Amino acid sequence: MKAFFRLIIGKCLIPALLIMVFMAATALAAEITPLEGLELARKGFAGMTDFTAEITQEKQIALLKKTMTSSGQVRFRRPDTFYMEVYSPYASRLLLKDNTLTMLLPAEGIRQKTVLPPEEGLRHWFSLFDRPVTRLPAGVEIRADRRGDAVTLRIIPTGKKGVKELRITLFDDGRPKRLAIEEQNRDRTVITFQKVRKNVGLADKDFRIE
Amino acid sequence: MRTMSKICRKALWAALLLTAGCAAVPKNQVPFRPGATLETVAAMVTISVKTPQGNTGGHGYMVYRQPDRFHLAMLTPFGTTALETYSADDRLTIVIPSKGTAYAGAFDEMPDDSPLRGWRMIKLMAVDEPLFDPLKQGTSETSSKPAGEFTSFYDGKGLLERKKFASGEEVFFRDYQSAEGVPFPSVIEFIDRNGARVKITFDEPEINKPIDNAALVPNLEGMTLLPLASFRGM
Repeated sequence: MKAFFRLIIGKCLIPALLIMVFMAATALAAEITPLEGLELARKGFAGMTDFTAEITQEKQIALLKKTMTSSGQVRFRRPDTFYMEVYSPYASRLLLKDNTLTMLLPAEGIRQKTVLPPEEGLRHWFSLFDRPVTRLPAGVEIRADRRGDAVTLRIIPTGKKGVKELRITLFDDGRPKRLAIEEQNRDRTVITFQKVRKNVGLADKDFRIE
Repeated sequence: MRTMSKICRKALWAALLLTAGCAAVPKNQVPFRPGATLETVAAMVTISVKTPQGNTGGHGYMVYRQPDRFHLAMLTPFGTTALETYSADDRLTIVIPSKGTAYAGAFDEMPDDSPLRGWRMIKLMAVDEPLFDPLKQGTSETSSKPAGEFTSFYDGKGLLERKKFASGEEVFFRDYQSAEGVPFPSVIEFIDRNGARVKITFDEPEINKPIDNAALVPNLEGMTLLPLASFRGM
């Protein structure tokens, strides 16, 4: 009798459960309009003043048929400050304060500062999230889908420069989950966000590059 | 019976310790092969460029094939390609994928204030002589080649440790490792007569493996092509 139940559980119930879970996961993925997708992302982000996360970055280099894997952390504070640190062996730190980009290679003692055009600054980009999204940005094609409590935006630049596709997945409350960047040269980078904490009250001291 | 059990336990511990010991012992490198030459390199790299005008650097990857073909890609912290350079002989092409722009010309056409001015020294990395010759331990020898007259200095083991060019540049070869017997320096540093220093640190190099031609030739399709003399930076 015991053997019979074990057989039922092992051969039928568990596979059935797995199939159901799989079907539920795929069934929940629904394509939504790009405007809906952007608006969901905007609303999620509206309640966020800052966030911190640990990251894993996987860069697939098509030419070398190799993957560079590194880990690190990111911090963001509204309206315009972003910090990213990648640990050894490819150690680097980056601070973007609106359109001023400072980069540090700690092992090499290299520090460089670049001022980007204002329209490429963080303040400009995040100001787009201040009001409801009513039209799509020019120069890109956007596709969106919703799966469970996350929305994925696929942003495809119409030109043939640099990035071929950018795919970002955000939770409903604005926390980032995954960012995938595919380039024209077939290189691909995937950044996965873990231990994301929002509204933790980040201060200026959390955005010092050294 | 109890003695047997004790013996078994001791044998098990001994086996475990032995296994752990084996795991901790680093894999022996194949000894350097005298006369082995560097044909190709494909590796992750960290580059630092220090000049009196300023410093720059980053992480990326490099592909090299004898005698003088280089492809270097520098990455942004997000992992995307910031800049690529391709060089062969005295020609350099700089590609900026995000702008769809490429700059091409002779190394000498690069403006003096260009942040990549020091990069012209990369051609000095091309080494066609063996990097290891036990007969040259602690010696130096002067040669004359198309790159100019230079003196090579060998360390106490016979590894090439420095080349000094008559034109004033110096190249240092450090931290050798063996790639199946081919000696390869993990760090190469160039210094020019104006004080510019370029340091390349190689990570996980693949030595003397076949490299596609496509990896060494820029794909300029759809790019706006400009003269190298107009390159002022990113």
